Amino acid sequence: MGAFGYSILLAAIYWAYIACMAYYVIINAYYMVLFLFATSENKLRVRQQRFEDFRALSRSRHTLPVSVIVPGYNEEQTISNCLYSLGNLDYPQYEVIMVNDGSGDRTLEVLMDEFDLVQADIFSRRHFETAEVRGVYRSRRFAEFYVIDKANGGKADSLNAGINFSRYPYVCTCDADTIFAPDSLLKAMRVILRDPQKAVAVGSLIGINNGYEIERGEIKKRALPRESIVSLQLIEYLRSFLLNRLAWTRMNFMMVVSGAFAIYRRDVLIELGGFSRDFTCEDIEMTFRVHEFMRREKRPYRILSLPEAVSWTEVPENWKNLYRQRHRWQRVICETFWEYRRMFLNPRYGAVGLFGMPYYLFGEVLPWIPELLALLIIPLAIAFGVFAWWPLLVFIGIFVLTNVLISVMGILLQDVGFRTLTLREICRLILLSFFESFGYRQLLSWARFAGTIAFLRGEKGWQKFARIERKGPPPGPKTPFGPDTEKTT
Amino acid sequence: MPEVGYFRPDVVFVPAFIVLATVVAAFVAYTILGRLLYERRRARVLKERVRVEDLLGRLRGSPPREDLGEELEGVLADVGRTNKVALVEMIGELKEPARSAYLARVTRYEGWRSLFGRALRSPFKWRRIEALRILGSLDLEDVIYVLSQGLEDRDDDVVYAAARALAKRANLRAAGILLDFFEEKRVDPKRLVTMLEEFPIPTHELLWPKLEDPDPETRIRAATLLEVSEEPETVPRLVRAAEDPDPDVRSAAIRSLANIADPRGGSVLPEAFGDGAWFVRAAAARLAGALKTTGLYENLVGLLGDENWWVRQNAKTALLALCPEIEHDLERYLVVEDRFVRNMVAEVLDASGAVQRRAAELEADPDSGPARRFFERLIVAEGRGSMEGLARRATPGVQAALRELLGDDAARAS
Repeated sequence: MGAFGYSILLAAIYWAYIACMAYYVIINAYYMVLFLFATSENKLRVRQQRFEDFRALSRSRHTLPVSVIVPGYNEEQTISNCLYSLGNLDYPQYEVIMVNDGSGDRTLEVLMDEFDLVQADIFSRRHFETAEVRGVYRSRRFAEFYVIDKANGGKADSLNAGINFSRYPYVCTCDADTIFAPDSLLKAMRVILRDPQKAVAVGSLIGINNGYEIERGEIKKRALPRESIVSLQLIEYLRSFLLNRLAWTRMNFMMVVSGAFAIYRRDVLIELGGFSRDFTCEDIEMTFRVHEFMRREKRPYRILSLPEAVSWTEVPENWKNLYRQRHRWQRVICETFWEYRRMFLNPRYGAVGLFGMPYYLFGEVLPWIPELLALLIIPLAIAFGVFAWWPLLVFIGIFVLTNVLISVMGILLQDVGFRTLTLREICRLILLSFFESFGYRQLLSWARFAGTIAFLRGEKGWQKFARIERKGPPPGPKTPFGPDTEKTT
Repeated sequence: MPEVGYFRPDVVFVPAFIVLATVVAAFVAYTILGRLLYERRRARVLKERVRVEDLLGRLRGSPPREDLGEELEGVLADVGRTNKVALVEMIGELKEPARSAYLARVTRYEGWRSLFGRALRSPFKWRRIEALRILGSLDLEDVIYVLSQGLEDRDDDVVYAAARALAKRANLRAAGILLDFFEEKRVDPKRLVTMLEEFPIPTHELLWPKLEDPDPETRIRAATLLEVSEEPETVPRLVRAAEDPDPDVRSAAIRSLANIADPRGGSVLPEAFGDGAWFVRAAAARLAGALKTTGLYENLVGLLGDENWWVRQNAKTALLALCPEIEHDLERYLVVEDRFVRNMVAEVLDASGAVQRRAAELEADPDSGPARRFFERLIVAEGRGSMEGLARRATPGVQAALRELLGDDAARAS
């Protein structure tokens, strides 16, 4: 390499490093701003909740009824607990529609036995075309509980089938491994009931139930999971839900309503054509679609995120499953952003176009570029003497501390609002956050990189991870004709 | 070092690191110390709460006493703000004459003005809300006026708190203000209706005239709110409202009649069953169930085949309410042509326990004619697949009989 080539190389390393650093400064400055908005929104929601009359809401016949739709594919391990937790909801009027998406395991048999299902003739409106519905069942144990057995068509297809059968003006979608707090619907619907004309969707912080003891849908014991990988995901969820989504709610561009627990106004879903089967994950795409449609039509609307965990789900417990999950999420993020790229920096879409989409591009689609590039550039910069080694080491320290700071912000928001973690758990999470930058983040960056490549290659597919095996509920009492009816119509 | 650019990391990074480390340490300290302080404060609040509960127990358990009043003032002076507010709210829930006597003491308490008086004008909305909540519990002069001023606050949360506080007042003037407040649309109408439904005193005197209001929205609200009325005169007025030209008013009136469940309300049923608006028919089904009008069960079975799902569901619920008296009569509908009717009748009989009772009969006597006939009809209504599933979960005696009915050769052979 001649002198000219060498100087080009040095310049390239230098400017690559400056670019990485500039990205890093900008994105973290953005997080600091988000923190301010998130703090304000957190305070508002927490205090509103404290002053709310939940007792009256839970008894009033004017509290808007909700259809809860639970799509499931091969969920024999988790479906009972999920549905039992739904049966325990403290809400005046709701129905539960479980959609068995052509499971190959014993999901339907488990449901038949657990919930004493009988076939039912229920009229449905064909708002959306779906895969063939093979049978509809009602439960003899729980009123307003139905199971739709259909051919496999994917989660979006199952949700659409559930909407076809749903009766109520609001639809709550969730995952089959989600466990609900008894007051989850009340707390989520509370914000909708304040302004039902404008509030079209609500999401909430999704908790992690990996370390929990769950029996018949009820959480018997809560504990921070022992596995560090799960605790690191908890830190990430707190950051994402409490820092990002609360701030986005405040600034009126809530970009993601997570499918693990989401409430939508049913007429909006129908008007938009239901969940799309063309995307790997339907939840992000639906949120974008709502924004695009409402802003284009200039209709007043709000999408909100709640700061409290009212439902809990399982997360991967090993590195392989975590990688697969993030790989899939990255594909989805890229697919969705690309589909709605017309909103990017488009003032017609207001805050969504001017703030939400740019964040999505630089904070979700592309962040793996500077993160992986920095891994390469820093050693090169030291090796070629572009910079001395010790300032770069200090920079790594700054990188680690910034991540810790953002994580602590998330933990602080959670603690100030709800105090669900013990002091010991808080200290453990803070300590863990120091180690997040050594391995965990790099794995996620690599998964994001691979996910982006998969998107560019047009790959699709779900790749579920194995569920935690939990103790099953005790069998019900026998009568001459099956278990007793627990709840009559 | 080769000269590449102007950026000097050694100059920038070290101070940045120091600042950042300080900020991180501050946040960590704030989080942990904040939590420790919270735990201490909570322990103190809980300790004070024991004292407050003990005092309240004695306030509830005896007529008003001077020494207890003095103790009340002492406790108010000693405890923190959280328990002060809680104590005042709990005194507001005492029965008379203790309530008035001790509330008078509260207003004589030295810190009263700073706790509540100034709070109403506080720039911090949550202080204003807290003060409004407390005022909702107190019988002070002009409290209605103060609360109605809260309805004009610039902040929606304050307005909501004022509305809730007014809804707790056992005062017709407060009810009148809330009824007029619907027009402002600052609080969702359903929330206001929920508040007024739980109003501490009857409001029928205000609502009766509104049944004749020219605005249909007002008539609907009045009809809806009268569902909790225990006044006998309400029923004939609602019966008249059930003939209103507006279907929403008719529906609201009939739903309220269902809630009141006075037999005089049944006079609207014949016409309501055939109403053109589905929600009126649905309300009629509900009323029939509430009044347990077994004589009209055939009308309800007819509604099981209605074009509207809600009407069918309400008819099904109403039929369930008429069981077990009509169970025998319902059995013949298990084999009608309309599969939705068959299916819903099967659901009713299942939910009412008829299926269980027949199964017990079958277990006791596998050759029982009525029981076997019942299950033959049930197979038609619910389908073989469903019955096979039920048979799997039945006790052995019933299982054998059901398999025979379903035509299981293996069972016949055994």
